[in-house]
Amino acid sequence: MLAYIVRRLIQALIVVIGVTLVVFLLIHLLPGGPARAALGARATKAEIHNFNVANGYNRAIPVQYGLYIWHLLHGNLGYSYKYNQTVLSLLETNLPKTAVLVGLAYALSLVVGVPLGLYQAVRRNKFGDHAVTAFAFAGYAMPNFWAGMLLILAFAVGLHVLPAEAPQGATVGAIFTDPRALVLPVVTLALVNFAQFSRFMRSSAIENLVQDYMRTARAKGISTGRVIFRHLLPNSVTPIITLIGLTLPIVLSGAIVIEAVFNYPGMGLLFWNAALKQDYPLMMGVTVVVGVATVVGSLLADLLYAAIDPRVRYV
Amino acid sequence: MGGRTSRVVAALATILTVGTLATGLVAVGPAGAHERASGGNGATFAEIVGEPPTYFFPMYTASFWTTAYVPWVSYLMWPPLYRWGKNGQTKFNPTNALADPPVFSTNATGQTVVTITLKKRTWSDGQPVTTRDVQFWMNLLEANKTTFAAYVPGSFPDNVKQINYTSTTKFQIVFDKKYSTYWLLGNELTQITPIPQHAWDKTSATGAIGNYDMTPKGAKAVYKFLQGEAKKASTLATNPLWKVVDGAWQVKTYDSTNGQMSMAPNPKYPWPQSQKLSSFTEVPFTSTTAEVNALETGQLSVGFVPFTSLKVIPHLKSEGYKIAYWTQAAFGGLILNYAKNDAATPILSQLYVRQALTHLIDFKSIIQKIYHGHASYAPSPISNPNGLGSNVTALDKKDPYPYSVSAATKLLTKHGWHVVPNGTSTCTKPGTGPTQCGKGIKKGAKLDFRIVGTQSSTTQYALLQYIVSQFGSVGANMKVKLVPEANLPSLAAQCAGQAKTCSWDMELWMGEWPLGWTPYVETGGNTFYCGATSNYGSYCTPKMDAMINANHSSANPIASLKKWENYMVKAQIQIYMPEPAYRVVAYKGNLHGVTPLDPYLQIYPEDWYFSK
Repeated sequence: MLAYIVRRLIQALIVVIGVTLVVFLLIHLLPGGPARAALGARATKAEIHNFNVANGYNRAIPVQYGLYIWHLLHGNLGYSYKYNQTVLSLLETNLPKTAVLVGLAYALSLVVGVPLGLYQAVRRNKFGDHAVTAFAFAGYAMPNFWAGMLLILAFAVGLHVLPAEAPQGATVGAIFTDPRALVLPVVTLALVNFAQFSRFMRSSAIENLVQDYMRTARAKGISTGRVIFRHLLPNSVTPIITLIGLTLPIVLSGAIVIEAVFNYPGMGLLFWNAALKQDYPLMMGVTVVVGVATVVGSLLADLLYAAIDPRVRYV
Repeated sequence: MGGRTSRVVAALATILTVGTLATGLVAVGPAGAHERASGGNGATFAEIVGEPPTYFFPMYTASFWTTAYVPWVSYLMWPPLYRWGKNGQTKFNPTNALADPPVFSTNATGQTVVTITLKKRTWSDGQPVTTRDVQFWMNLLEANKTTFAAYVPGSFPDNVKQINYTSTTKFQIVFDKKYSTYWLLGNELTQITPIPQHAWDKTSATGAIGNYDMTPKGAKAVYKFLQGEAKKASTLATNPLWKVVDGAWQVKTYDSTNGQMSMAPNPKYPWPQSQKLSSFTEVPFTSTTAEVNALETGQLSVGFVPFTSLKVIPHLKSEGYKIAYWTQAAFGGLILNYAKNDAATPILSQLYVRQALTHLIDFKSIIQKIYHGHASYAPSPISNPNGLGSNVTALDKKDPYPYSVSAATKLLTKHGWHVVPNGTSTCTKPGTGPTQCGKGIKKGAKLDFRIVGTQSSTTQYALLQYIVSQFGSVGANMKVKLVPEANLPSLAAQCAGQAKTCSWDMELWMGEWPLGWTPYVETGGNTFYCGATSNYGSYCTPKMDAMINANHSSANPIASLKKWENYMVKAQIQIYMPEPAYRVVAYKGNLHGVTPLDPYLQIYPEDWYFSK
């Protein structure tokens, strides 16, 4: 198991370095350059030159990349010239907020989607299964900005029972002082994601229900609850582990549409605005964080698989 | 599986689902608990989406030469000596100036001299505003001029020969030659901003106040210190430097995580009325959708409705909002590229071609169909927002090239073009005669143009499609390149005097040139003078430069400006488009003083108050 972990960690490190290199090169290919984006069209040549010197953009791109990696290794992600803050402080502010919103939505999706998927498998092709399927498909097919708008219209504009905005607190603690403001954005995000979890769970459980070990367990007279929770659930949950692993980068990269509709500045909008303003340090900072999260998520899923199913370690 | 199994799973699913929903419902309380209101009779005002203010220092760099920062933050705390605008007009406004109107004269050597007397004003810490504060600004500016966004090489302060600070309230500026007083008042004196020397003249946070600004080296050190402090977003509300203001407002809270800023009235400010706001809060939004949601739920005192959401206006009115259209003093449109080595330059250099293309633009149709009636007619760089612009000539008010496809076709045909509607027209008669295509245009040359525009803005994209379609009607073949709206300035600037890197013949950019803070007066100096930074089309003729020089130095500045304006209307150096309303503003019905809105986008919340 240790050798497996070490092997996967080395692979992960190479992937992260590759991601930073590719993204670094790509953002330097964007037209216009950061000086014009930051200073505007009226900036003089002298101003453009000063900006480039101050930010090191007058150096060769390989030198810029080398310096970036050097600073990165020393915990320095750079300085955002749009926000007048270090990239690290922006990430420290936005990352927890995004993690709270998206994490809660995924937790809700999981808590609702897994049991419903299990229920659908057990009651497959019955009315309950069809009803949940219809609801899940509707949720899955609906763009989340549309779902968000409908919920705002109904509960904020129409009924006046919930706010149209997500909590505006700057810290995680402050966010939880306004829990009612979390309801609409969390439910909107969960509406889409629960369908994913329930569909995967349903398919996996149906597959397992017809396996020999299930028949044997029932033939041995084991209670129904024990059959489901001791045998069916653990064997059906492996696709969900993959999904959870893939969820980690999403939790950290933010949900730009939800952030836009519910006025909740997070990682998604941070990256979007950085791209619009060609704020290179910030774009790189977000990319590195999301890249690392993707690799870690995938690594965690692999390790969990290996823990659950020993056969995986030898593949 | 038996029925028992189903019941167990169903029960589990039900418990979890109901539990989750219950958690949500517990969170649901009475409406209105989550509000943006700033309490009491405070007003809330929407910041520009995606552009929260992140910097405080009135000697702003180009990065912060934006509406979100200059008129909506800096001027509220540190207003300049003179401003234009207010009451919806593009005129000098002496009422809110920090000094009496300037007195101009000419000295024995023919140089323009201006004498300025400060009004009695007090800093928020009780110290008087004096000429030493003006001197402090001037010293910092002279030592650091290339970093100040409004600085244009050769202009202020390069053209200042001498400044005499004759008393604590009076000073005199001697310029290096004779200048137009109108231009000086609009574009140079408006840059001067008194800043508190007694509180800011130091080189470190713990250092003592001195007279460091009196030497260039010291002025650079002070500027560097102040710039450094201005960049510390997390301390903007707590740093004692920024608490010393002479404007109406003083920062109270600032959230560096999203840019929300709350201001309290400066008690030392000469408030115009007793009914004033208790606070003024600028609120950030992540999208126009979120902003409209906030308006629809009554959380904002003043906010903006995007053109794509005008259908919410009846609902907003039913909720007690009033609507106003904020028209801006600005110009924009189709920038034409006159770069010397560009294939299209000989064609675009022909007046008859530009006249023909202008004939294809139906201003009325664009205003009605694309801007739903909320745009101003603007056939020149002289802005006429809501018809209230200053010095607008009779020619500028009428359409010199009215919409007519047949007139456009006739002009081209008359000059030797074989016009193929919706095909590609070609030059059949090369030469420079009156019925030939013109200098540099070869036989068989095509009306081929590369046009850059954006799809990011619904209205700009609609306008682009309209232009392509209309130009096609005389056989102009348009190769369209779409870029994000944020890239339009970069692409435009690429072509300013740099023909080799220019990749377009026409660029549609409606945000080309907003006026105000500064320059307030458009003279062409920044935009059409040979080699000017914002001369995006590289237009360069001795005649144009002479007219612009006259605008800057004429003893009869209005006549000079009008002469230039008429020339610009006729010549169509650019093909101007109607100037759309800057924003559709929704404001609470019981909030007074918001209108008339300023064409230079300045706000005056010190004039606002709520009625019962």
